Amino acid sequence: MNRRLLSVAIPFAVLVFACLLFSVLRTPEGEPVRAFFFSGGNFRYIVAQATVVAIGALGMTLVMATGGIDLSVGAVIALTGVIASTLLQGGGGPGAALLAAVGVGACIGAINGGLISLCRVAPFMITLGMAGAVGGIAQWLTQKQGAFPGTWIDRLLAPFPEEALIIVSPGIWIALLLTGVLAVVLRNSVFGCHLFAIGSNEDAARLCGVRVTLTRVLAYALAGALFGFAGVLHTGRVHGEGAAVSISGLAVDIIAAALLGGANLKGGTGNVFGAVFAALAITLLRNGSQQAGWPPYTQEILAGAILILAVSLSRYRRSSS
Amino acid sequence: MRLQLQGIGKRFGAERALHRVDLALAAGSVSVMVGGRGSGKSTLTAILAGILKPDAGRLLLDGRPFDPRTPHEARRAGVSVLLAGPALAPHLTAAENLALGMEPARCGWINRARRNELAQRALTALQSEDIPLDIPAELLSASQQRRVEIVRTLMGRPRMVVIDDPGPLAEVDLRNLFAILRARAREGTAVLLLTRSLEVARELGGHTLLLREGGIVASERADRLDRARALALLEGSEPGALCRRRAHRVGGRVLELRGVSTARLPGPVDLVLHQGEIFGVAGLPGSGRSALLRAIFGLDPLTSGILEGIPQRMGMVGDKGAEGGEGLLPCRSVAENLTLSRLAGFGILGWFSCEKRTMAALDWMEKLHIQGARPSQPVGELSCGNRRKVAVGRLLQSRARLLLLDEPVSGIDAASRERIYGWIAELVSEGRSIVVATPSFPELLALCDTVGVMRRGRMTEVRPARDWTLAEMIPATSGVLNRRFTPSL
Repeated sequence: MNRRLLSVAIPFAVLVFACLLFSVLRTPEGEPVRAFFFSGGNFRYIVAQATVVAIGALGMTLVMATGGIDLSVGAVIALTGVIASTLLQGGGGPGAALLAAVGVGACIGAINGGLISLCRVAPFMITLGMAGAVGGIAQWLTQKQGAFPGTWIDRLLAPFPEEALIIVSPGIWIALLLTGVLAVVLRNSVFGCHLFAIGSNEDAARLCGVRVTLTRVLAYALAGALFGFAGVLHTGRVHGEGAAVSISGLAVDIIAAALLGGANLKGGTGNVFGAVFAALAITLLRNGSQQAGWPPYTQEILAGAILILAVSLSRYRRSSS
Repeated sequence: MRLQLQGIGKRFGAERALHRVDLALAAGSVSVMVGGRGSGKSTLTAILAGILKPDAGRLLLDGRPFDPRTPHEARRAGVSVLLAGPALAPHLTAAENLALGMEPARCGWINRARRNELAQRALTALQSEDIPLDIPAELLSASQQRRVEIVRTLMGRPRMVVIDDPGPLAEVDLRNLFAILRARAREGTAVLLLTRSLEVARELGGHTLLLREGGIVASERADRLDRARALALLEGSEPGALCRRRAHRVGGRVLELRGVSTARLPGPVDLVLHQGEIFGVAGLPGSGRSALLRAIFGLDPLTSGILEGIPQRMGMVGDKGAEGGEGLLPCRSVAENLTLSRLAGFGILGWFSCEKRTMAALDWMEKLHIQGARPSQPVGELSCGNRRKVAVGRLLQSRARLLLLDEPVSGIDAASRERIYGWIAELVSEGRSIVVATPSFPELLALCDTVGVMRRGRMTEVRPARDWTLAEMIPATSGVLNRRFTPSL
């Protein structure tokens, strides 16, 4: 089966499975889950939540195309979120907060990519170390943090947009736009083609004159910038309340979404549409298990199971082709 | 255009890969360098491509120093090099692979139509239109993949083309490639082809260089090359080390292959092995000797045919060039490697005594004449010959009932060869069976009970060793008697 089709078909299957599951389940009180789960308000909530995961998965897809992985994604989202809210709290404008967050994310990504190229170490090791360091800084900054004044950043992912004309909130439109742009970049740009070439056969790419180090640093930096944007969206959505705490499961979701959407750990593949679909499917499962009244830890179990499913599927896809 | 190599030398640790190589490649010339495994072909290619730096000597391009830092730089200077290993990105399509690094683009955006058009034109120019442009390269056949790599090497009309091993090309494609290379040479391109096969050198023509142990041992026009002398020069094995075999009894069937073929072995191959038998596989490099052993051991899945009666315990000393190679753990010590298969003998209940192990290892190192190495030294630091001895030594101690030896004595001195052959003869007298492949025909005839000759991936003839004569074997392996290629292939 065509790889591109499969990348979208598998997340879609998970999506359908989740919908079917929650349409027959009942809560412990005996009410059907579907009553609230399938309501318009809940869907708006799910999509808003999924947008953060989806933007993270876009960045992760870029990194995974090169055969890498960025485990610092959760920490970067936390840190950039805290930076944005600290700036807002200190009287900074929302534009400055957004720029700062995206910039810091890009810098951390560039450092990741640079260290990976420089030390020739497995990406998961470098980014795991970075996750620890960045996560620590985020916690340190969180201690000084309080409430911040409302700005348009809060409304980026509001379930109901102020202007009813645009149907869904502006953050979702931006995410869709980013998805489209990245799809074209991966398909039609020299940079995108070189990303896949590096992940597919780094030596061959180098032999052909591809600037491997530069391309890799750019990939991690771009991914970092996307994580920074996701951090801002997330902070705006939860209005800074415990931003650093509520991201605990995010990294697992983002990596699972990228994998389920067609990327694989060895590189050379990846599909942004698949990743976005997968992000939606995973968020749906999380939300559904909440609506079904299952205890919070079942969400983590589910997310872990999906990650494992995604990894084994990507192995299978590789061997079947 | 004239590329000169003057006194090129390259070492890897204690090992000498290239030594004082002098070579001149002029515009319009065709040269073929023939050398066995470990003769230094790949090192030379890597130096020409700018991947490795020579330790000694210099390269001159049109009289000026040629010192490329990357393959890309070499290519811009007009020297296009294709390495032996796979050079495609498996997830990218043929078109993407052909354009990699030089995509037709404006402001970073690829012009896909133009890219496909260029790729199609390049494929058509080299008679490879049958290769689909829009599916991932990993779905192409091995031969098609190699052709894409060759097309990429020839794209853009480089002034000099270096191809390290044509690889798994079908006969038609190989002849096609030769025609193209000759045509390019007539237009003034300098062509250098490196291969393990004398036949390729003969077929392409031009100038033939024989490479052995990092040095050029002969340089002659292809049509003047005497095959028997060339083989002797390439293998460099003086048949002095013939061992006297003990008489032993050959028992019932242990293993039977019927119509076997794998991805590396075109086949079909039939083979019957008895208990206590030494079966010798004769053949030129690339004839499928190693592939046959890999198939028996189960390293390559069978694509057709059946394998019957595989014993529980099998041991193998593999091809040192291939991945997984000799079955050694390069970063672990000599002692560990030598004793890995019988650790339990040095202690009880899963614990072993390091002292006993070291003693045993020292004992074997002495038996095998592994000189200049300590038991605690990582095997990867040893010379080629010593590594081979460790691999063979471990196998000699194992309890395997079937041993597969691929060039067990390559790179090993004559005295140790004889000793190793003596042990092999001893093993079969215990009722084990052995399949051995080595390039030295005299050694095979002296050691084995049965010798089968392989040519182009097929077992062409099997006879008891005493019914073969050396004079018959050389033509049988190279097919001189019916020398022309069979067009059906």
